[in-house]
Amino acid sequence: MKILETDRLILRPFKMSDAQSVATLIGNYDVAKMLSRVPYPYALSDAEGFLKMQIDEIEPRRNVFAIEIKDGPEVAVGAIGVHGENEPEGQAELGYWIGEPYWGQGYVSEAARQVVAFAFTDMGLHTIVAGHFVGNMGSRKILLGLGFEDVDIAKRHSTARGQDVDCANLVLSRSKWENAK
Amino acid sequence: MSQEIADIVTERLILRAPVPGDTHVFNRELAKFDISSKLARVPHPYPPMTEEAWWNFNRARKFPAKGVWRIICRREDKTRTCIGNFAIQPEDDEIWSAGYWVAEEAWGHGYMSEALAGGLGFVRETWNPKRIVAGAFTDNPASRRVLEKSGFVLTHETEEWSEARQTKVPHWNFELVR
Repeated sequence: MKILETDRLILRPFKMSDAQSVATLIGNYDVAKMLSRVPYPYALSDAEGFLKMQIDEIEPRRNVFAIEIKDGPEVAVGAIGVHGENEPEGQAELGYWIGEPYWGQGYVSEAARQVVAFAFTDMGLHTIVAGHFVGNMGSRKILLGLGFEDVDIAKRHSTARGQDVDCANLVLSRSKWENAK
Repeated sequence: MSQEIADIVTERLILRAPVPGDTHVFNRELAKFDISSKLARVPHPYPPMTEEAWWNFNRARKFPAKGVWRIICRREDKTRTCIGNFAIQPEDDEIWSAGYWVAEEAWGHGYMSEALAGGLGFVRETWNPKRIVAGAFTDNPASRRVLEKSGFVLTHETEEWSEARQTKVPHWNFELVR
């Protein structure tokens, strides 16, 4: 798997030694409730299971990167990736999270710019979809900043909340991305 | 960071390496006067530390050539959430020091005694320092019991500055000799 780099970040494959950091940061309800498939409470074994899947189950249509801050703790403090395994050919879903201590500093936008470029060029995608639970303004700002546009609002299950939640679905096409560059 | 630092496991506890996100518990607990007033250098009110500041502040402690700094968690807690921490580190070639605090919700179970024993065992096996010093303000008998249970011996009393109380406070000085 490729390693991507931005001004402040290294986007790299996960390592098993990231498990406790992932468990502690995602085990914060304010993070977990914004994600669709994350249980709460989040055990170390949940983190290990997630990491094992990223490390062992190579799937060319899925590229999930650990977010590591240069000059920071030498462990993952978030994740960002594109999942195409359940999407039509040429399309994938962008997903991400970062630990609460790192919110509001533009890290995810910085990472997402790089991952979107990777997905359109290296992975050859023509469409990236993404969603955020309604009310998650931080995530919405990131997607709009990347040029994503609203498609619709539909229910999506939140494991942490244990219920279906309104989710705003957005899309970015390669042509729109190229024109905006 | 964490790949080189193996867990220390005791009867009820896991003593693990610090990770990002533990700041959450540090900021919550150190904001309590009941905690900060028992420590020498923590101010009150406590300005919450950003993750970046915490990282920079503790950088040297995260990669000590000698000594340990560990987060205390309960073995039964599958999320391994921080309930306290301790550090046992060299002050100079001969003298080491030990310091610690436990989150208020975890008081009264003997966790700190168990954690300190685990940490001291590791330090003795690895570096076997000649002297380890530690202390507690004299209005903190719980901390005195922790030290005594680990074999520390009271050597003398002094007055030490308490940043939270903004005054000097009578202080017990303990040591553990090899």
